Formats: sequence, structure tokens, C-alpha cells
Amino acid sequence: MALSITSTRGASPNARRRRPTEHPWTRFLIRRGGGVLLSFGLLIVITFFIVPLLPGDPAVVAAGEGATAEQIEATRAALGLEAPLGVQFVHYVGGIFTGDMGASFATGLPVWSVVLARLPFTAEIALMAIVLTLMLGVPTGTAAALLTRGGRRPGLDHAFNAATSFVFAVPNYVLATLIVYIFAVLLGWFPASGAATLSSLVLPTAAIMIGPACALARIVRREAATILEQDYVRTARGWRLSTWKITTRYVLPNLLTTTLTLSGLILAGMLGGAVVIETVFGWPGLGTGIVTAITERDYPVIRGTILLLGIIATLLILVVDIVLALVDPRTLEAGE
Amino acid sequence: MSVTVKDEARPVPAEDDAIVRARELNLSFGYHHVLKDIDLDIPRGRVVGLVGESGSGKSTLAKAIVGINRISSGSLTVAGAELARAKRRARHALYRRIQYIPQDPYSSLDPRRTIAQTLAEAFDPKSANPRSHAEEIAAVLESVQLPASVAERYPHEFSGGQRQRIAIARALAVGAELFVADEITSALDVSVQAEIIRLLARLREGDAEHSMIFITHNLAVAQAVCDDIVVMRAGRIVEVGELDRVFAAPQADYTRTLLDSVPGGKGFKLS
Amino acid sequence: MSTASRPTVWRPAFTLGVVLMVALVLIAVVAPIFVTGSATAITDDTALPPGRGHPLGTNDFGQDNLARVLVATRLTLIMTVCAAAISVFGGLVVGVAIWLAPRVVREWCLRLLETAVAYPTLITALIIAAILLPGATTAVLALGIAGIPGFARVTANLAGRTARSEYFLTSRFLGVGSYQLAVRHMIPAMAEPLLVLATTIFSATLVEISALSFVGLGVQQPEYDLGSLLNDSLESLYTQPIEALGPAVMIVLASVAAMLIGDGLAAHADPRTARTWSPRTPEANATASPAADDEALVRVCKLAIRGGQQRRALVKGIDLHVAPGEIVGLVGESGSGKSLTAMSVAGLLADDLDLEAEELRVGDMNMKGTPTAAQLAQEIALIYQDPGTTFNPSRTMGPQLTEVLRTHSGYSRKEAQQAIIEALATVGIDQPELRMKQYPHQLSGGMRQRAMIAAAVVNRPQLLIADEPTTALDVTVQVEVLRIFHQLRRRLGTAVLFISHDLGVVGELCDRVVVMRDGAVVEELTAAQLAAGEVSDPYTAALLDAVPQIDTSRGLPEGSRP
Repeated sequence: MALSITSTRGASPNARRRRPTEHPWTRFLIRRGGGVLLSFGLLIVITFFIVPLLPGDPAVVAAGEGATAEQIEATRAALGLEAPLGVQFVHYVGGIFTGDMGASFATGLPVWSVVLARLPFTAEIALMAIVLTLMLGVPTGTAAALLTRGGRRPGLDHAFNAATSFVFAVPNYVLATLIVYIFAVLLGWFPASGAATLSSLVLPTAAIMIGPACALARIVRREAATILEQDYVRTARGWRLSTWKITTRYVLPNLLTTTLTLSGLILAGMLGGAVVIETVFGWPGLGTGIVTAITERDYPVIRGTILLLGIIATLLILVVDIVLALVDPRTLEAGE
Repeated sequence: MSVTVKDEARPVPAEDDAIVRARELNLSFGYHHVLKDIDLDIPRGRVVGLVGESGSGKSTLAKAIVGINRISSGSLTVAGAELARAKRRARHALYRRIQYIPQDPYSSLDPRRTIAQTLAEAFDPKSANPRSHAEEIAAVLESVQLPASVAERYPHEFSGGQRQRIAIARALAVGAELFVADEITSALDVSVQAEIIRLLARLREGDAEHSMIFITHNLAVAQAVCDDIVVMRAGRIVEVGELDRVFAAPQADYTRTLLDSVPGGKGFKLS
Repeated sequence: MSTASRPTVWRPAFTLGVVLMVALVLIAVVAPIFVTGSATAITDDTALPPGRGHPLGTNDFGQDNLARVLVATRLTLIMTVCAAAISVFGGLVVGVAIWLAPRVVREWCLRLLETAVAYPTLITALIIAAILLPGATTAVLALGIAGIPGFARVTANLAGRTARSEYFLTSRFLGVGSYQLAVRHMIPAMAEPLLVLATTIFSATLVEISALSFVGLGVQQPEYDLGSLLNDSLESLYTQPIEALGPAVMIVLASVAAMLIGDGLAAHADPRTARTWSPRTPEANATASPAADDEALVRVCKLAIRGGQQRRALVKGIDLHVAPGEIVGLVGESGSGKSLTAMSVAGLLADDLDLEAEELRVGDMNMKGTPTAAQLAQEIALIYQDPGTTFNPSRTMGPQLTEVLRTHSGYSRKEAQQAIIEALATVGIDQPELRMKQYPHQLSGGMRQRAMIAAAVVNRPQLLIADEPTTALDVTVQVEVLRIFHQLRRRLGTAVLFISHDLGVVGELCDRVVVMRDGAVVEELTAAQLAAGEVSDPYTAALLDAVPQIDTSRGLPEGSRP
């Protein structure tokens, strides 16, 4: 007998039951929360290992060149290097949670207070810079996309590309040197260094934001050009809406996701930029803090600063993700 | 032949009779339960249409049969072996007995390799040397009505229909027993679609050894190509049987609705 | 790889980048041989201004600034190349390893990389610089390692994308082994984007390695690179600003060169960048004066459309008319010009295409000119294919559906909402109030398409242009949407220009069918002629023949067949 195509119908009794779907936000928070905890754990492990990984005897290295035997022993005691690695680690983790990360070698002050005293200065320029970056980058990029009609006007397109990529290619410290020379040395409009007055905020902020603003403008332009080719923009054109309406209601809202994701990354990147820029301007933030600490081999402060910067970067990414999920419900569902 | 519903008293046919056998097959992607309790026997030597609308799970089932999708529970036997339980080597041997032809002719060929290189890989996956298989390549191209001279060209030089012929040639080159064609005419213009349908009919002439599972959303195309039909809806099988019989006297209401929705069909009414 | 069809990579910007880079490399090779003496010898000519023998002056130790900059270029380039090589090689190894790892490991690693990438490279580099003693080797290691996550993530993503591609999948199911898969398909697919990324990494590393030296944690005295030179110059910025010029210009040149090369390669990989724009000038007169005996609503005479760089003829002088209340089907395969024709009638043809016509009017609107937006919006409504992207995904349905009423018909928000809710109900959408508050992705394709139709006809337009409105829909949904069209015409008497590739659909719905091929009209048929198969043009006949017909009588017993 030839076999014919067959099928049995109906549910079998042992069909697998799926557990009811959890609320998307619960799933989202569990997933992201897990990621954040993992990042924190890694940060703690990495910062801990900075000292044991020092080549040779950590105490000798940490005490620095030309240290006396007593100084070396003092360093060994200060860093708790006599204990086995496991005990040191437990002690270190315990210290983080009780707020006792040891004292700065250089000043003898508690690490947390040293680090937290510097945080507001860095936060100040970073936040100023990100706001200005967004205010400059998004409109410029959108305007460029509209004016070039998604790359259909090669002349304008090339000019925009050349200008933004040239400025972006100038490193922020070169730019900083240039603007210090122009605005502080030649014109004397703003102070060249220090954080004494409000006007001393201007130059560091400018130096740190111009590069990212160009990068953002370029990406916004490309993204906006893609959106302008989307079906829903064609629909809006079919409804004969004005360019202004199409831009504000159909292009900009859909740029939000990209812009937010990027601004999180840019803001995190500004922490790196701050290290260099603060040195140029003698700005008393975390950047100069860590550079001084490394030069002085102030290991407790190095650990504290890196931990704090890491925590801030991780939280920034988390905040951006949460904001993204709030403004665009599809991100929540597409998270798998 | 008739539509048969599995009944306990009937003796289970020998494994060899069916090229594909699914028992209580379930498949989930994360929280989405896509295939639900699929029981299906596909006999050898037939062209079986898998039809349904979007979300019916027809493509998912096809991909499970070729081993792209992993099933969540139940069993799935293809060409006498259970893919999920087969060891690595056995699984690779089995892969060559089943060939999958994807829907999009623009992404199914490596843009950086010539047609000869692509086909040589099908003949000999290890060396993939086009020169040592030149004659076979010319022969297989001829069987899909393409001149041997196309072998040295790159995929972007061909139209969608030509690419789909090349994809079919590649499947033929492997010498598989079972072909799984996933919406292979859907991205094509009707006149090109008609050519592919004619090609499939020509290839099938006098061939009782090869089996084919033909996934489509277009019932008329299914009728032009297939012997049997499996109608799916929302992850379940609604109706199976010989195609002409199902179309003439559908048992399930859903099959009737589908048939009546085909423009130009007898049951189609606008008011 | 065939390069014949691709534009050359040697565009001016790319060439400039390569020339700059070659010049820098030459400086790095040659300069130390000739000018090391004047760069390092301490003389009494301290802090000289620019002048003869010292184009950029001298520093506080009497060393020639220009010589120092030229010599420093070598160390900067060597360090950059080494660090970039570490990043690229390490990134490749990690990226490929992640792709080869089991799924769970892969997902965790990718998430980890995601976090690592968001973490500023310079700070990662500082961690390493803190462990090792500051110096050139430390700087190379620090930035080399810090760059690994970024490169690894892109490698893993590219590998993942290739691994999911259909050709890769098919090859795997031909029984091709992992090694051959990688060599034949994976690496060629990744080579180009990774090369582009490598130049980006090079330029970023150059900037950051100099940054590390600039803050005093990189190259240490007595060695010097561009970064440390720039730092030295900071102290004398008030007294000897020219000292900063050399290192600043050199760093910028190197960075720009790497960037130009990277952009050139990227542009070469993405052929989309070459486009032209030559906008049409619309006619001044926006009002058409139809002939007295012309009762047609739409009149198209000798419409020709050209486009592309060769200004190829896309539509070749066609005639078309639609009477008031008539449903006209425009049928053809891809490339037949049916959509271009419809968009010309709608006045929405892309403005880089040339349009010529003896007459192109809808009602009394001259579509070669620019009638007012309000008039266009009220008299012509459009419906497109629904692949799920015809509505703005970040706004709810309500504001979008009411857009025309509010913008062009002077309705208040409330009135417009009320009107749309009623219209939604008439096309059979349940809970219309709820739908107005939902996002497009929360509605099914059929529902979105009905909503689109409802919004299109609420204004009682004279003409409805529907471009493949049922193509993306399932057959059972297609019937329902076609029924809505049918009812609309009976209820409102709206004329419809219905574009489709499906003769079956067109035959069911339309009064008259216009068949197009390669930009020309080959035949016009009435619905009755089409149904009876009374066609005269061979192409139409072939097209009709190509459409598979469903036959539900084949399975019946011999005797009972009709």
C-alpha cells in the first residue's frame, strides 16, 4: 500500500504549556539589571587587580622609585598586601560597600571624598557639552539631509562631509590648544585655566563638544536621509504636508532612537575626553585627578576614580536604554 | 489515495515509506509558540504544497525539516533519520540528502563567487574546484535551461528569475532526495513565475524518486505545481490530502475561505 | 570580485589621503636620518622666533622645533601602527572566537563587549598605563588592548550577519566544513568592512596615543613624540606659540589622511553614494483648461518620463484617462512604468526625474504645475502597499489619520477625530476609538490598510490612486479590502486608479484595464473583454496565460465535472 499524505489533528494531551508571558518591563529590567550588576562586578574585579598585577613586588612598584624600605613597608600595609589575594579581595569589596576605600597616598584623605570632590567639575563640563552637542548636531544634521535631498546634491553633500569630517579629525587637545591660544592668549576673553569663574567653563566645554557635535551631525544627516526615503514620509507627502510638518512630525521623532543611543555613547566618551581636556585647562575634575594619581602612583585614588568613572558610564548606558524603552515601546518588545 | 486521519488500529507503516514524519512536533521562538502539535507524514516521490497565510508557520515548519530551526518537542524524522538526535557526521550526511531553496534570489547566492564556484561547491563541498566539475556544471545549468557560458559570471549580472534557476541548479547538483522550496516564486513577476513553474514541471517528468515540499501562499501556484497539499493556520495543520480533492471538496471551513478568496476563482465575490 | 561595474576607488579625496599618508611615512623614514642632530642637540639659541635656519623657531633648550616635529613623527607612527595592529589582530581573534562559541556564551560575550565599547577607550588605556610604568611600550599596549573590544564587536556582528545570510546557510547545508565556510564565504564578506574599520582604528589610535603622551602618561623624556611635543609647547604658549604649530599640524594631517583613506574605502564599498540631482521646474500655470467635450476626470496625453544618469526613457509618451466614478486598473510587471505614471498623475513624481506631457490634469488641476497643497490633498487621495511601514511608527494612528482634515480642510482636532472614527467604523474596524490611540505596529496589516482607505475617502476626493494596495496582504484580507473599494465606489462614486501586477485582482475590481510594458501602453481592455480572454496584444495574452488559474473542479469524479 502506498502511503498517502496524512496528519492527525487536535491537541495532544502532553502538549507543552508555555508559562504566561511576563510583563515586558519586568523582563526588560531583569535583563538590563543583570547586565548592570555584571558590569559592576567586572569593574570591581578589574580595579582590584590593578595592584596585584603590578610587575614585580607590588609594594615596591606602588611606593615608587627611590622609596626607602620603610616607605615600601608602609605602602604594603596601606594596601593590605600581606594578606593572601582572596582575603585582599574580600577586604576590597567590603571596603567599597562600606565606603572605605582607603586613604590617598598623596594627601592621606579618604579616597571617596577625594574622588567625589572632583566629580562635580567633570559632570559640569560633560553635561554642558552634551546639551550643546545635541543642540548643534541634530539641527545641523537634519538640515543637511533636507538640503541635500538624501545625497542627491553632490556639491552640498561633499561640502558638508568635508567640513564635518575635517573638524572631527582634529583631536580635542589640538583644538583646545588652538582655542586657548586664540581666546585666552591673543584675545584674552576667557581665562586659560582654572575653574574660578563661570567664564572659565566656556573654553573646556567648547573644546570637548565640537568633535562630537560634528560626529553627531554626520550620523543624524545619514539617518535623516534614510528616514526621508521611508514609506511613511511618502505617505505624508501624499497628504501634502508642508516640509516643516514632515520634518518635525515624521523625521525628528524617528531620529530620536538613534540620537538617544548615540548621545549616551557620546556622553560616556566625554568622560574620556575630559581626561585630556582637563589637563589643558587645569580643570580640577576627575580627569586631572586620575592623571595626577597615576603620575604619583596613588593607587587607592586610581582605583577609586576608575571605579567611579566605570559606574557612571554603566549607569549612563542604562539610563539611555530606559529612556529609549519609554519613548519607543518597540525597543521593549524587540529586546530578545 | 485519500485523506487519512491516523487511527490507532491502523498498522504504522514502515519508516521508509515517509520522507518526512512529524509526531507531536512543537516549536517555539522564545515566548512565541509557532508550531503546535504537528503530526504529518509526507510520502516519497510526491510534490507536497505547504500553504497558509502569514503567521501560519509554514516557513518555520519547512526550516525545521531542513534543520535550520530546532524543534522544541516531539519528533521529526527526515529521510529515515532524526535530525535532532543525529550525531554531527550523520547530520552532515543527512544535510546533503535534503536541499533548501530560499525565497529571495538576491541573497541566496554569494555575491563574491562566480556561478561555477557556487555550483562546484554543491558537487564537492571540500575542494569546490570549478574546473574539475566543468562538465557536470554545464549539464546542471542546461537542466535549468541556462547556457554553460553563464558559469563564469557573478550573481549580480542576473535577473531574479535567472538567479532562482541557479539556486535550483545548485539543489539539483547535490543529488538530494528531498527539496524544500520556500516561496521560490513569490518575489518574481508573473511571467517569470510561469517559467519557473514550467521548469519544475519539466524536471519532475518521469521522476518518482525525488520529493519536494513547496511552500507558497498562492493556491493557484500550488495547484500548478503540487500533488498533495497541507493547509496550515496559526501554527496548526488544518487540512491535508491530495490537492485536487481538497480543492474540489474542502473539509475544513478555513480551506474553503482560502479558496473563495482567490481572485478569479469560482467562489470569489466582491459584494 | 568583479570591479568593472563599480566606480574607481581613486577619487580625489581618497587620493589626497593616500598622498598625505605616503608623505608622512616618508618623513618618518627619512627625517631622523638627517635632522636628529638639530632636534636633540642642546644649544644656546633658546626660544628663537621663526627665522632663517629655524622655520618654526627653537625651544627652551635651543633645539630646532621643526626638526623635532619631523623626528617625532616616526615614533608616533610606529607606536600607532603597533597599537592598531594589536587592536585589529586581537579584535579579529576575539570576534571570530565569539562567533564560534556556543549561543549562550556568544550572547553574554556580545553583551559584555557592548558595555566595554561604551566605556571610553582612553580610560581603559589609563588602567593599563597605571599598572605598567609610563613609556612608549606601555602606551602601545594600553591603546592596543583598549581598542580590542570595538574591533571584536564589529567582527562578531559581521560574522553573525554573514552566518545568517541565506547563501551561507545554503552552503552549510551542502555539507561544507567550517574551515571552508570561513575561507570561502565568511572572510571575503568581512574583508572590506574590516579594512575600513582598521583605518578608523588607525586614526583613532593615532589621536589617542598622542593624547596619552600629551597628558604625560605616554612617551617619557628624553624620548618624544608628537603628543609630548604638543604638551611641551603648552607651557610656552604665551611666549612661544609657534612651538605648538608643528605638532598640532602634524597630528591633524595624520588623522585627516587616515580618515580620508577610510572614507574613500567606505564610499567604494557603498555604491549608493553616486547620485545626481537636477530638479524639474514646474509650470507656472496651476489651472488646466480641459477641452469643452472632455468629460474625463484624469487626462494624460503623451506622458514621458526620463531618469537616471543616462536620462533613460522610463515612460514613453503614454495616453491615459479616467472618467468620473470609473475604476481603472493599471497593470504591468516590474519596470513597466505603472507606478511612475500613477505618481505623475498624483503630482508626486521624484523631482530628479524629467517629466514631459502634452496634457496632465486631474479635474481642473494642471499637474505639470503646482496646485495648492490644500486642493491637491482634498481632490486626490493616495493609498500605498502596506509592508507595515506606511505609517509613522513613532506616532499613534489618530494624529496621522486626521492629518489631512486638520491641515487642509479646516477641521478642529475634535471634529477631525470624530469624522475619522465614523469613517473607520464604516470600513469595518471595530473599536475605532481604541485604534486611534494605538501605534501602527499594534494593528494588523489589513486593519492599517482599511484605516488608510477610510482616511483617504473621508474628504470625498474626486480621485483615489491606489498603488498595489493589496499586494502585501494575505488573500483572505485582500478580499475584504477589495470589497471595501467596491462598496466605496458604489456609495461615493469616487474614481479609482488602481495599480497592480495581479491581473486576477484587477479583473475582479476594475471597469477598464490598461496594460503597460517597458514604459508603454500595450493594450486597453474592458473588464468583460478581460474576463472573456478577448485580448489582441501578444504580451497581454502571455501575461494572462502566465497567471496560474485555480480550478476547483479537477478533483471531482469524472461524471460530475461541469
